[in-house]
Amino acid sequence: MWEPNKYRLTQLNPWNIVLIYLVLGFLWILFSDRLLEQLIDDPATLTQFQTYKGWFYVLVTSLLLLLLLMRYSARITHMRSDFLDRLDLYRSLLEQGNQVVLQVDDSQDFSYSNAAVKDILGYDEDEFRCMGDYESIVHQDDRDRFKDIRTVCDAGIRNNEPVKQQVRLRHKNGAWRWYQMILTDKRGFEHIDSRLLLIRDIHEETSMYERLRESQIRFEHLFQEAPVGYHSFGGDFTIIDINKSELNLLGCSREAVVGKKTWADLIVPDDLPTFEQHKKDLLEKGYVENLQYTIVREDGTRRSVILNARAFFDDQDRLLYTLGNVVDMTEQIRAQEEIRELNISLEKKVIERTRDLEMANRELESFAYSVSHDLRAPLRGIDGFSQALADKYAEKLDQRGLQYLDRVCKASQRMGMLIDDLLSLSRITRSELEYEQVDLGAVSREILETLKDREPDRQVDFDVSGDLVVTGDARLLRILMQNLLDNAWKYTSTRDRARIVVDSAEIDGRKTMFVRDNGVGFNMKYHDKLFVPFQRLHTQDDFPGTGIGLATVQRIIGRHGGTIRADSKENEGSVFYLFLPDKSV
Amino acid sequence: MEYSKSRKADTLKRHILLVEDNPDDVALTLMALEKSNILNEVRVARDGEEALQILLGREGEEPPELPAVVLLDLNIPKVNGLEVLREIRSTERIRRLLVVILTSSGEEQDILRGYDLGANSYIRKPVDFEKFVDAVKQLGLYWLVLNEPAV
Repeated sequence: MWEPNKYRLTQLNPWNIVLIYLVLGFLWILFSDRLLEQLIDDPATLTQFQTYKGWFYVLVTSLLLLLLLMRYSARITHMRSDFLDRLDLYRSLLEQGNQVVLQVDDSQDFSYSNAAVKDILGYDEDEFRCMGDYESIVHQDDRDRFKDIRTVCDAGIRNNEPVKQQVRLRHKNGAWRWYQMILTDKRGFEHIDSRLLLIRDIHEETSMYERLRESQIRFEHLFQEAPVGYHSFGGDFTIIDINKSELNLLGCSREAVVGKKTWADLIVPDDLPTFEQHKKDLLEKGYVENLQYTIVREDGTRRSVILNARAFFDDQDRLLYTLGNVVDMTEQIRAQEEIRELNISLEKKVIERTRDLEMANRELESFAYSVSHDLRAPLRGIDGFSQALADKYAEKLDQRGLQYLDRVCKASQRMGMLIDDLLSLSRITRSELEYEQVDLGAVSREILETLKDREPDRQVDFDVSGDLVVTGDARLLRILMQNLLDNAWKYTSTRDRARIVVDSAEIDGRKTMFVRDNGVGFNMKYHDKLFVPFQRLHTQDDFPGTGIGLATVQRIIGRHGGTIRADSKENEGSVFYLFLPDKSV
Repeated sequence: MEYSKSRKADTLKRHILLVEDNPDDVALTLMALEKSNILNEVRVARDGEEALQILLGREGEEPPELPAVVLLDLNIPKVNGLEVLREIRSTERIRRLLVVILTSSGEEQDILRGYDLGANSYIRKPVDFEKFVDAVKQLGLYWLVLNEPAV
């Protein structure tokens, strides 16, 4: 505590002392001489005594003076050491303190700055004092506030309230930091003699505060704007806080519920017993999850919600408040219901379609049946009666007539073949697949042996090797191999040494089987027509056939989910590549 | 032995019942039988009802003579071939009759149902007349000569 009076040297005014001295001296001179004249008559003795009296007076006053001076001196010494002690204390406080202290005198210059300026602002004392343009280190947004301080400074020294401002200053290292500036009067012993500008680094606390504020704003935003309802119930389960989403969900205003309603007021009466049970659970466990409720909005409509809540207790395990979130499940439940209904109608549709499909299939089957039965009958008639004509009336027909009859027979037989092939193709499409392991190598060998038996004169080399075990319908795969090998056999018939290879290889990373022959091949230009029913690439005279074989092959492959492609060079041979996907039995 | 011999001789004398609605097919079958030297009398029923009438006779009259073999087409009017077959197999007097299905249909389901109902044989009529003649010849040889009938 600064006590200027303590350092006053005396309570007595020096003028008073001099006055007292003058009065005493006057009284002494006036009365001492008169007393001596009455006591001593002898003039010589009187003169002598007057001299003694003079000496006595000087001696007494000297002693008094000495006494006074000694007393004063002791007091000054004591005061001085006390003063220096305090000065040290204040200086060390000043220098070690965490704020910049600047003394501003009347010329607006800083006549003093403490060493903290280096620590706090990064500048050397002299550098800072001589900076001149202080505004340049004040943040642009804070210059108005800085000017407030300047205005007070410019107004000159007078009794002012301290001015406080928070501004951002640029530290010498270039970083902007928050500082508090305080401009205050400096009081001397008697009066205000200058001002002090104090600068304190408040960056950490300010930014912490800022961050806290920011996070509070964020939290508030989140709380209010989240698509989920949030609320807090007090110890008596009255709503003490609620966010916008939940208010929207309830369709009422904050004022209508906060402090007035409990959860029980918001739910349908049927849910009340459940709520009582849930309250118990919450108090027991401290939390509850996935509680289903139906709430009644202010307009009377209902909503299905899911509630999660957590309870917070005081030291005596009394409920302080709860925090809960509410998710509106109405749409979801409705959507689920819709999906269920859609599924049901879809199922109905599927059943209808299946019925339609089955009907179409039955029609197709009856068509196939009538093709098989009814179309063949007239053909048999044509063939049979032509034959009878040739047998019984041969002598009545000339050579050409007999030839025509032969052609009629051949044509009807060919049509019979076409009908049969067409039927077998449709049967392949209709029949159910039965998957099993099939060794196409064994099947191929068997077929080739049969072909060889049929035409023992032909020179044909077989090479059936490699991994030819596949999964598929044994009956259909046999038909497939039969067709491919029949073709290979047929189209190599013009070769002196025919060669038919059945093998497998890894092509494009998957096991692929192939059937290769050195027959007449075909022009790749017609590759696309190869697998089309009744499309033939050779004349009936060169190679007889109905053009249904490869269509059958492709259909069988297709039914197994596989692929087939052919590669050929005219007069060099053909290769058929088969890929069948691996289907576990 | 005596007994069986007499029955076999009987088989060759007994008639053949051809159940067939298509006159062309009737003519062709007759031609084929003739070509195969099968000389049995052939009676023709134009539909299933007529076939059953021939086999069962009229009520109150003496039951008619049974054919050596019935050549049965499936796709016939009124009562179809498979129904005729079912009727034959469920009628005590004629249930052991030889029935050979002779039809255009090669449908698997027809073949299976034919055998299920107790057909003795199933022959698909080929389009080629020569093959048809061949088939009829073998049919006659087997069912009329080699086979030992029950009735």
